[in-house]
Amino acid sequence: MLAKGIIEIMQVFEFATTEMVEIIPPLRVVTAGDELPSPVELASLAADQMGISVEFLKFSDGRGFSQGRHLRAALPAQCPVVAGGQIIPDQADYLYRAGFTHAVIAAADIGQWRRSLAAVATRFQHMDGSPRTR
Amino acid sequence: MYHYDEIDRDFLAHRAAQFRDQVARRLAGTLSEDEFKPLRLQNGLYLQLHAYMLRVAIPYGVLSANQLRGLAGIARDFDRGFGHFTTRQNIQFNWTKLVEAPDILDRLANFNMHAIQTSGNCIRNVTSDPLAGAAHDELENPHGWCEVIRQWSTLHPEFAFLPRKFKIAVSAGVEDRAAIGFHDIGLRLVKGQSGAVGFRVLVGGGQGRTPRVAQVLTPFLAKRNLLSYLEAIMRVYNMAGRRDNIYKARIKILVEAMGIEAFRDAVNAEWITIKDSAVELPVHEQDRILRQFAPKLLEPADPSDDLLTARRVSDRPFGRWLRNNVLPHYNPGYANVSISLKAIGRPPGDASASEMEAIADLADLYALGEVRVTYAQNLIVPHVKKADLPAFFTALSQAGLGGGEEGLISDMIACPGLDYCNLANARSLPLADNIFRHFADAGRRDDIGHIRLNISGCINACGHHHAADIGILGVNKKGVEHYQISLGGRTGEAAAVGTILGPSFEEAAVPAAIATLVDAYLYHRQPDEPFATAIGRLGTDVFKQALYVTSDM
Repeated sequence: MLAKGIIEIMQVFEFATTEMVEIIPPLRVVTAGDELPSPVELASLAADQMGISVEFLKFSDGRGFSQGRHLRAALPAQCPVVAGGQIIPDQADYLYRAGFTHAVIAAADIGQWRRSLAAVATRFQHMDGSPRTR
Repeated sequence: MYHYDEIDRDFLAHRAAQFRDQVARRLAGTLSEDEFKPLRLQNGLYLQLHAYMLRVAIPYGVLSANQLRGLAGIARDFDRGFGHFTTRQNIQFNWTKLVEAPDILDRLANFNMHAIQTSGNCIRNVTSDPLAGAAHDELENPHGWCEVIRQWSTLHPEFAFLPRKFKIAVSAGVEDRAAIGFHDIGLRLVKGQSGAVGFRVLVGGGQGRTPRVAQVLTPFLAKRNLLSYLEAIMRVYNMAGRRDNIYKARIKILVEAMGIEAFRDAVNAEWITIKDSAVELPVHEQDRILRQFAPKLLEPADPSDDLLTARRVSDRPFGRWLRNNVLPHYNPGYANVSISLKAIGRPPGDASASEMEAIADLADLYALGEVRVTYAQNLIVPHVKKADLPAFFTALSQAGLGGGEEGLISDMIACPGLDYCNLANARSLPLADNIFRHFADAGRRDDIGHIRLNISGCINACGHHHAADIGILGVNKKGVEHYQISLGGRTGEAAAVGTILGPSFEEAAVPAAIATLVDAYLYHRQPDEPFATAIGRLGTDVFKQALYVTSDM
């Protein structure tokens, strides 16, 4: 049995491949806007190659985007950063560019998530993982 | 001005297509209104009292003549033949239909315009000095930096769902013509101790129901670090700004709650993690953008005033216009022409399609084909040769736009009020008209001189009543529209919030009340003392007494 706040194995949408994939590493779960794990705990997540899932209670609560950015910078590439909870397909590109690697979505919605992710390709910011197209 | 390239055009085309898809999904019911709302707002579409209102972005108030013609076409084809220029240097169309909104966005994209982030809880259109690049008193052109900020804030993935809307203003003149002290972030180009130009950064200003003047966050920020510093501020706000109460969600409340020192510490802690990182604008990109705002190559022009003096003697309206609406230019052979969108019978800031076209033609014929929208809801055509001013005025007058009201009591700022807005308590536009009619004598308006009179139809303060010499706020008193009057607000470096004078007035009594204040000023003023200076010297008691003691008798 896993500790509270940790889930294991989930079907998620992967931004990089735009496919549904199975995430094997266990995920530490936090609620968007709540305090993130301490630097020490993040280092231990990194050492264990665990990922983290940020659960949005409201899609319009933008704190999760800053948290995604922070987590992406704090964790190595092999640690997934997953967006879950109430998120909408129209946020796909924002989530991806804010550092999320995956999103928990209904498999039936994958077409809309793909369309939304590809809707506007031009970016005007230099963010990790999303080089400016200029 | 900034010229779109293939990347910018491609971006707009895709963004418009994305919105078309979102509207279709909303109409099909696959997007709920709750989900659709922030998406439509971030494309400028509001649901107002009677219809959808589309707010089109005019970046830092700069338009080409062709874009103004394009807007005229939209006014004609999708609205009732009018557009409404706003204090945030944008234009609003008050009678649009949801199903036509995607077509309007496509049309806008054709002439490199859009409605992105003109609403919603995101970084809004950056505002600035309407005389930038043509002013006689500026350190350097701030518009290049506005464009840098515009691009950086456009679809910024981290800051699309902020606690509340976020407004940034940039100015560079000795006189602050962008009201930076009343913005979430105000940037002022300043010379540092080494002589290099950078930014003084103000934070936490704003109006609404809790008016606050911005405080200095840092006295000097190097240009190369602008974007990392802005990101640090935004991140602190995004994480810590209140989301439980929309009336306490602006950054001004956060800054006040934390105190400026603690807020600064939080920003600096965030900043050191991203300063000089890939977040910053690359030098080549900065150069590409700023190059487009280099000083204009102006033809040599005669600086003499002889022609103008001759006509002003024989033509009084020309004389008024010349004195009030022709603004100084850095080149003595040139001027900047302010076109008053204020007249009896005209809602402040409104222009018809044919008027927009006439102005566009004048900007092409007599200037460099550029038009600016001002904070005070007027238009400016920069870079007009002095020698062309008489012909310019004649053409303007023929279009019904020859009023010389710049800066006068008639040059009111007013929100759309209860005629359009579902937040308003009271109407603003008819009151503005009644006040104008009360001061119908142009000679009297000139004699009174500069007064900033602003009207807001509710406490949200879109009419900027807090920042006015005379501020009027619409309130609802037992179902009847009333108006509260305040005095002594101002923008600029020494920004201040006006003081409420006393109990509110019914609509019919307001013009006379304003006249009472004006008469008190005329009685007490010293030679050449403007209204704002007189209030500073006299305090508000003299005016309070004039307004309440006398009227009680």
